[in-house]
Amino acid sequence: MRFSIYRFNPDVDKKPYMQDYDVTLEDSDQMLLDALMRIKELDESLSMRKSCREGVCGSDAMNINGKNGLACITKLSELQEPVVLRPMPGLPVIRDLVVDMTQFFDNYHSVMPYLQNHDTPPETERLQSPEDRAKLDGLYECILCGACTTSCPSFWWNPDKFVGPAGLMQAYRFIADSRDQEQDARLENLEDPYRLYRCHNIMNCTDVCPKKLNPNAAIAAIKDLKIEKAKAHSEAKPGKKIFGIKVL
Amino acid sequence: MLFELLTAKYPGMRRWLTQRLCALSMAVVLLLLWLRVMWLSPQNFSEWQALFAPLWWRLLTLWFFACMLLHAWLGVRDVLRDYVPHLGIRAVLQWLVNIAVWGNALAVLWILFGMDF
Repeated sequence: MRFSIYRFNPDVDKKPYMQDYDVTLEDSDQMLLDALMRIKELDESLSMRKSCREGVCGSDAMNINGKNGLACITKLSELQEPVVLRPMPGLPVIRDLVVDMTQFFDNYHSVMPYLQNHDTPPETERLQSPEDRAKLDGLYECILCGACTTSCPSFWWNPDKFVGPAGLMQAYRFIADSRDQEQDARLENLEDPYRLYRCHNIMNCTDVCPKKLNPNAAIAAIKDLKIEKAKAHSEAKPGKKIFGIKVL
Repeated sequence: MLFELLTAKYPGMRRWLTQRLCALSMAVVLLLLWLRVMWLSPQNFSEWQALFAPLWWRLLTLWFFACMLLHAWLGVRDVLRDYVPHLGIRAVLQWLVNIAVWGNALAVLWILFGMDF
């Protein structure tokens, strides 16, 4: 099977280049990661991340034939040859297929991805109703591989301003959590022209998510919630009325 | 409630919601136009001219174009901010866009209110 892989070693190379590999695969080689391990047997200088090899850790996210995905759960039989492998776009390349994810995790941390509850902790866990717990489905499963965020042009152009789909989905994961007490502060944290609203709903994020999650729906839910909150805030305070209709 | 969301208190929401409200307005006016064309079935130039002649319809058409130009201006401004990092070039392009938007607005005004119906 033929592969064309992005190579760049900043200690040696002046600029990146694509290197071709022809690999003979065994019957047991089912996934792209298996083929990459064969390639590493041929050329151990190839750098990449990997760990769990079953779509849980998110380490081996890369751009596969133009679309981000996880090498370990991408079937070789579904790939067109030559298989073109590049590092995820929009992040600095450290070496070959390894990118520097500092910006990605800075954005993730900026949404405060942890439960904030100021009550005295109970003796056992903080309980939720089944309905409240169900609101977290499709959110908590994110493995932070970065495939969605690095598929997003808004992140490419504004990586330090736009949180990105993964970060926003994790923001909503805690906004929607009935145990969290900082919902208003979380929403306020996303109120500027870039952090949330730079999303233009092109849905690359949803298209590439290897866990089949829908970051775009989470982003839309945050916007809806902000409108609901503003409505509740407006109704709660005394306002001007014209002909009996509250206008301000 | 909507008015508050369109104030400086909600800088992100204001731009996003303005664009959506403009799009919604345009969709409503286009639907009305379609219904009006279906109802009156204009067959020639004078009948088409008569369709646009009433003052309320011209005001509605002006509202449609105002929404369209604002919607486009917000969208193009975002595109320029994303794709043109050089401040000088971006400023020139933004001015060209502003001139085009105002030029179109004046042309619409002249067509709707400066010509004999």
